[in-house]
Amino acid sequence: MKHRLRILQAVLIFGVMLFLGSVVISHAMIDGCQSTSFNLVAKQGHILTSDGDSMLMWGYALESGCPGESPVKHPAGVMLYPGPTMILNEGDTVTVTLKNELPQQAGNVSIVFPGHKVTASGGVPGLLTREAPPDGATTATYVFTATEPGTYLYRSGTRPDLQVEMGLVGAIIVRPSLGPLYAYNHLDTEFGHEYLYIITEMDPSIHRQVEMGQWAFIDTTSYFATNWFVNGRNFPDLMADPFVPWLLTQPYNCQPRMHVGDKTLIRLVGAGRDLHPMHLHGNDFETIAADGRMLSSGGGAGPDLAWKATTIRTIPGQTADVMWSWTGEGIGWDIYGHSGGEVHPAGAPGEGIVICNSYVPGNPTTYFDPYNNEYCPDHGVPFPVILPPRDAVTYGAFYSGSPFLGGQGELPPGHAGLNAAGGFFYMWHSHTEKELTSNDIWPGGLVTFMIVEPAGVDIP
Amino acid sequence: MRKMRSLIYMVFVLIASLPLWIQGGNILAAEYWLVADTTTKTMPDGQVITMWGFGLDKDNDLATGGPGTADGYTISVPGPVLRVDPGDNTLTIHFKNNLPDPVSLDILGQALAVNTGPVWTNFPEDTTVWTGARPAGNYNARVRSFAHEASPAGGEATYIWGTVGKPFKVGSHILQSGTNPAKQVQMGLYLPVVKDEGTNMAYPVNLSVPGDLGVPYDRELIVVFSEIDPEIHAAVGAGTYGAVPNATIKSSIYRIPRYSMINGLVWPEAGLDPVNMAVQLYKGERLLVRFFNPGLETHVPNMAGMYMSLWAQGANRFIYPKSQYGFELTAGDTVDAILTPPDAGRTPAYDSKLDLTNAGQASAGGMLSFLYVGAKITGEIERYYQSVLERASEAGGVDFWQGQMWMSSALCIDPKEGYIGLGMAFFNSAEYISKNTLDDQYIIDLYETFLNRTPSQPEVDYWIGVLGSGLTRNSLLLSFAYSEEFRTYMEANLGPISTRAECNLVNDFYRGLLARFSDEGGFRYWRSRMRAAQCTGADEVRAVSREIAQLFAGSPEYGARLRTNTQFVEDLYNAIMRRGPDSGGFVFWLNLLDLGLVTRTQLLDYFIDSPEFQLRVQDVIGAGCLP
Repeated sequence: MKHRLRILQAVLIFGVMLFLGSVVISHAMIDGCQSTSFNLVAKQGHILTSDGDSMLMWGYALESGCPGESPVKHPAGVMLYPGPTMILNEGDTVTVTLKNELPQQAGNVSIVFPGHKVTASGGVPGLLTREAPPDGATTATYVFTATEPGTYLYRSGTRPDLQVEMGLVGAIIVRPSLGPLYAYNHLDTEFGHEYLYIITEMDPSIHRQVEMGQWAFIDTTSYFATNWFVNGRNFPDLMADPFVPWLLTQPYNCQPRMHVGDKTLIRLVGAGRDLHPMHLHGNDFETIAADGRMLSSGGGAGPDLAWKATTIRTIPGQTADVMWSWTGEGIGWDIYGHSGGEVHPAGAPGEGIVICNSYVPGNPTTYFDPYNNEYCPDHGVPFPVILPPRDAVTYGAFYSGSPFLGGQGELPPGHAGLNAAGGFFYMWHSHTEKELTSNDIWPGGLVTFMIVEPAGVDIP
Repeated sequence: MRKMRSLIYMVFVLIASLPLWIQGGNILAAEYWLVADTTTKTMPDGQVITMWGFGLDKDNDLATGGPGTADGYTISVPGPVLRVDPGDNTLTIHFKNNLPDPVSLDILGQALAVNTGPVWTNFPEDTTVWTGARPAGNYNARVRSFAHEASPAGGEATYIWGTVGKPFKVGSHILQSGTNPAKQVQMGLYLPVVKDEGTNMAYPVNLSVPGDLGVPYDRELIVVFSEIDPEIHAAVGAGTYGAVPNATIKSSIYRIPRYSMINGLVWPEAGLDPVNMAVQLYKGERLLVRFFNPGLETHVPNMAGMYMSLWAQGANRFIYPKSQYGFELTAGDTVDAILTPPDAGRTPAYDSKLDLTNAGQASAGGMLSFLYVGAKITGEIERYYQSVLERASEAGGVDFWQGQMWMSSALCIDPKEGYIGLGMAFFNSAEYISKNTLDDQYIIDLYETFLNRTPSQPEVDYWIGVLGSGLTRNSLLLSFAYSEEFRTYMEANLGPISTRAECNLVNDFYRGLLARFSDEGGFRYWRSRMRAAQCTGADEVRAVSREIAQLFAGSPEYGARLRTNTQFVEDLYNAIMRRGPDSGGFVFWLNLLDLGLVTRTQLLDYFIDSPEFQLRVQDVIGAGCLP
């Protein structure tokens, strides 16, 4: 009976949520700066790590913010780690200028754009490209055309073993001409939400040597990382909102969310020096592209060479795009806690229609409810565990009080209540488990959570 | 159509391999005589590293001769590339081990036809040896070698891979030591073994894929990634590595590679710029890059702006290629990729895992290299033969000149210089001079050769007038070679050309004073002097420019050319001014020289101090310091 009450409670909350505003289907898109002109300055600054430290970094700042951005999110002239995510459209010709306000001992700075044909000018000559000397004035200019859609990166091409470690990295997203909700120019690459994973790491001793001016002691061959970052933040900071004022130099977060049945694109960027086995709980993913090229046999085929797995290594200097979805298929119990016969709630798609009423056993085309993507063979299948009383167990901070999607339940006094919509939290993390720490403090580092939300929850 | 082509290819392969079948199985074998020995490598920072490596015995007997002797061997790291021809069923290596440890040979992914190993020893004493199965009841014995060994200090053994029934596998393979590999492989005991499916065909056609063409290629480049931890090498060299009583390093568990190498070289060693000096590569050609990682670390080869088609890993062909600018190359693995460069120029090729320092130094080092993609005008050398010598090229002639031009441009010299050098050589050849052409014919030849057109009569008349005013034929040639029309014609065919000023300035002295293409060693020396000067300051660039001019003019090689005063003035315009002389200036300086009013040394100094030359020196200064 109590169980029923909770379900009713959940349905009520849904109704309110739907009423409040998600009639228009929203798509979570990656935060960044959409422009064809980026005026960057290499600067020093500090970031916060989740072990409570403050580390000196070198990063690319947007000299005057993101052109045309309103409301202003990217602070002008502030060192950013990672550098601004450049959002481009296929065919854009992009001009990136670079000045260097790093200390003299840092030497010159530059940018390389792997996978792009770049024309560099200005500045002074360097080994890999033109460079900006540390005079705060001389400008190196890089021009390239984003000829192919996909996920790319940029990073320093000058003494990169030190400068990349210090933070001079960033991501590039090129949207295809087919439309912003496609990863590539093929219908099979459509997604509902997309998230960026720029993976980097840090050896704090090198940063301290730089901060203390012990230049002669820096030796990148003995580099040993103890901090790891997604989009410039450690867990749990990466769950906070983007552009929060207390993380001014770390503007980007990493908080993937989607509704049941949505397709989510994860853009993985190996921006540092190490390989990291990123493990996605909850379901297999499909790797559909590498280095901004769809894995395709060609001739108009889609990503037919995509490969399925649960773990993908991010590779230094390279990118991969993976597609992930989740429906609860095969879980063996009704994720909503239905007992059968319920109708879609008021205001929701399919309002009043009996859930899974078109399901025909043996006909796979009817296995998913057309309105909420529920996996119908499990519809009404009871939860296989007798839940212990509330006070007999310790609830994790992300437990809603109910094992059911969208469900809510009584939480003990003082519980953080960090799961407002009753979503399912799936840990997406590095499976080099020591990387789930920040300088030996657990949890930290490369931990993220995908939240599978029930239909109707607003995902901005 | 594509299906048709693959069918034609299959038929071609069948016909081509018929004679091989007729010969019978055992004849189709690759056979090498290989030696392992100690060598040293001096790093750019001066550190001398003890290495173990392989070398081929020069007279295939393993009998006499030490390293470097006439019938001996030359040890290198990585060892020599061993090729197994497409029709070969087996690879046989007769092996001699001059190292202080026992050594065996192992090819990753290939089984020995006959293996009398493995070899077991008691640990840690390493004094008793068993071969074959584990010694009965002895659970402390350890495998020392995966196969039968060649004993230390001169022991020999033979290894055969592949049989008639199961031929040696097509693809890229790593041969390495199969004895205590954690120690011996990192010391340098590795080399590439490659076998093609057919001539310029890396892997076979996949008949189950419609239109599949196999993996054909035009050129092949081999790149080997590996690392050095100098402390381990020093300990091995001193005999204090491993389970020995006086061990300074007991194992490689804490190995920290301080040098990361491509083809046994670290940046800025000469063989990495370009990494394909020995492999002529032109835009649009299919370059097969065979990547080998016999090192102990993962590396990530990265071609910067260019995408490769990844076709095979560990000698296993993919059904479809993957298009990537980089990829993960794990320890012990090989990857074969086809790179079709769309443009000419220098492209960085490096480890994007960023092992880009030599022992932690601030300057660039490690796994950094450049791929040079040349531009050429197809048929142009043959056209020079016809225009100047009025005949077809002799056998090997075009290839020779193409090779000279390749080296010149791969060393960073303006590609136009290759054609200028060819023209100078042809017009000054005994063969052309013996034709005794008249002036008007000479002028027509210049037009047809350099500008690829027939001149009008007024144009011919103009140049006849110039010759009459006292200028030499070679002066005329220079005017054509450095004319705007020649530049336009060349760039229309070669594509836009950008060259750093110091490259051309150094080459000017080879062309102008020595009348030949730059040799690699000499050019690299002067280029590095000039680049060091560019990083030091403007005065140093001026000083080095003067030094190179004076040294070349005073060199025995120039002296041996026995140049007349006329020719000397001609050479100064060529080398110092990089242009054809104007008749007024030419006659003026020649008269001063002939009358003894200036010496050649003084005249050289006038030219060096001229605003015109100093302006070109200023270009070198302006090109800036290249780190």
